[in-house]
Amino acid sequence: MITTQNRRGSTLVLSMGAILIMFGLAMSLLFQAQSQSSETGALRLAQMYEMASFSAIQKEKASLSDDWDDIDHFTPLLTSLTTESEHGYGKLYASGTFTSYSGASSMRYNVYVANNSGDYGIVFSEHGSANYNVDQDYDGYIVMTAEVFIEGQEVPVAVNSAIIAPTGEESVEFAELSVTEQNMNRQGTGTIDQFDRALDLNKFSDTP
Amino acid sequence: MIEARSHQGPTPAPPEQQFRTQTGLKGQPPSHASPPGAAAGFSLTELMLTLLIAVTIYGGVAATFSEMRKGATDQSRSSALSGSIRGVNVQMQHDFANAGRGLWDLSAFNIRYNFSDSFVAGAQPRYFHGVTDHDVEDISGQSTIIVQWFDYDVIGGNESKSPTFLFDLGVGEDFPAGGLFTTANFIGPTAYLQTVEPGDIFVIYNNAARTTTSAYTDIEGEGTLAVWNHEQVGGAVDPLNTAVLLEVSEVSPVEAVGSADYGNLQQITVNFAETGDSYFSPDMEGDSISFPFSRPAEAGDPRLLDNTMFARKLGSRDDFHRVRYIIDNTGTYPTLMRIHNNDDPEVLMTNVTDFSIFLGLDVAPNIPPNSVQINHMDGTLSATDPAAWAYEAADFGVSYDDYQTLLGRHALAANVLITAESTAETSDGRLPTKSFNSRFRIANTVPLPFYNKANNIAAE
Repeated sequence: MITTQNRRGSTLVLSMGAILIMFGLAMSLLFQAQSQSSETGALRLAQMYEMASFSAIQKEKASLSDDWDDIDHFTPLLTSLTTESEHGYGKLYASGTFTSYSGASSMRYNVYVANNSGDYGIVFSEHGSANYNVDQDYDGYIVMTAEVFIEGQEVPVAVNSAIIAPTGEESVEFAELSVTEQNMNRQGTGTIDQFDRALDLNKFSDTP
Repeated sequence: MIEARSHQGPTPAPPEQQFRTQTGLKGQPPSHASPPGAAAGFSLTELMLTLLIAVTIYGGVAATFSEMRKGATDQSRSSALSGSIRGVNVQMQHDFANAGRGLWDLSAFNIRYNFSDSFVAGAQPRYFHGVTDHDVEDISGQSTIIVQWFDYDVIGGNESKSPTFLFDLGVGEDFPAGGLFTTANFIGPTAYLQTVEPGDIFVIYNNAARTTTSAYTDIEGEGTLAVWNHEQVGGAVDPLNTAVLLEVSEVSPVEAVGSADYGNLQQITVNFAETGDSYFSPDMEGDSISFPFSRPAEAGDPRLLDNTMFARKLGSRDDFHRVRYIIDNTGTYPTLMRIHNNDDPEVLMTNVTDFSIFLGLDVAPNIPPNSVQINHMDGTLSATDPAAWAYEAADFGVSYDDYQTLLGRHALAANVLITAESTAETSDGRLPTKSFNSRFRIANTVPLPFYNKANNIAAE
């Protein structure tokens, strides 16, 4: 009896030792792969949020041509809007939602417009003359700012701005509200991965 | 078989004990040397056999895992290359997207500048552009490029962190003929004036020149001028200095302007002098702004203030970034370096066998920058299909200086090709090679205006 129990015990020890060694060898491969995957994922999320903010600007600036006045430029637009941003981004121009990854992720955005800081209306804003106020657009430039939120959250995941102005040239590419991994890295030749962070490129019709 | 025996004398031992005392080799008396309770363990032969089998099994397992490890290591080296390439991709995307930030709407201007020798020594290009010095480096034969920008707060409105002021040289003063700027007044709201500090960098420019001159018309056809053709901005046969970068060295307290023309606006006096920490020198070395200065004043409709100079705060020295991408061949392997300002070079990738940058422009080659007119542009701006791609100045049929100006005004995209080899061989003696071809958007800088604003005003 005793001899049998001894043999069982030693066999158990040897078996456990073998399993332990193989387990350790296998885990050493798993840990390396997991850490690389997490690091890559976080970076891609951050890029996607940045893309989303510029995508929102690109979408909303398309309707700016309706607000352009040949004499007063964007002054009627700036004076007609009423909801002020609490963060100094300007006045609320548009809000919207969009999804990514086939609806798995849902985001919302706010787009604000403001006079550019180099406009006479801003530089002279404390002059005291009725000719100058912050909503007078003298040079035809304004600034669009987009803040993007994950649905249900109040802290924005991305805030970005762009200077907008008419140039008479036409932008061939513009971003839809579709943010995928492909266009996030600006790879490929699709038309949905281009942004204009400087001047707007909408083509306006000739003045009759 | 054990048989119980009846006998006189001591009580016979229990059967187990009798069995033990009778253990022994045949023909020999039972051994009384075994200690009581000793276990019948493995024999030496059994142990040796077990060890042999165990070593054989473990050897096989170890060999299998060794092969798996080699495969994983090879994969890891390949992944490391991919990871490096992804990192370079992200870095370049960030740098090209920021190129020219703070000056995007002033690309038509010839912005004169001079780096201080403590920051960048030696001869420099005459005009400041977001993308510049795109060339083929002599030693490595690979591309090199400089991207520069300011962390300019684009968010506008009356809470901008990058305010703009009126620029005033004082009564009777003009731009220095010798090119050495020493002092000026900044006029604006008090709260913004109080944010100006030594080390702040400003661009001085004529605002009206880019918005109200009658030279810019939305008329299709031959010979229509563009904004950069206008002499007040950057045109004429010989380039004119139409803006200047200056770095503040001293700031006086806020004070009243002393003229009813400025209403409630206040002013500060700033000095421009090179210090040991300066990035920009105020000495334009015989150059200055190429048109006369007029003191700004209210004239009713501010759209008619043609001679008003503005001072736009671009940021402090910490907000200025000058990044060079270059291949360094001095080490064992050709290494892609990113050199930011005066920082130590940053190694991006090693053993880079090919580093080629092509820049896409929205104008065709063989046209000097100040001769580009509206009809030379096809009316569309496309970063995926620009008018022309250039690997170096020779591709555009213009001088190196003219090529830099064309880049600053018309570059839309950068196409970067990088090929790198791993420095360690795989288990089968190969060197993993990875390459990527990525296109990055450069902030487009087609300038305003496109409308004949002067005529529009006159029509009111």
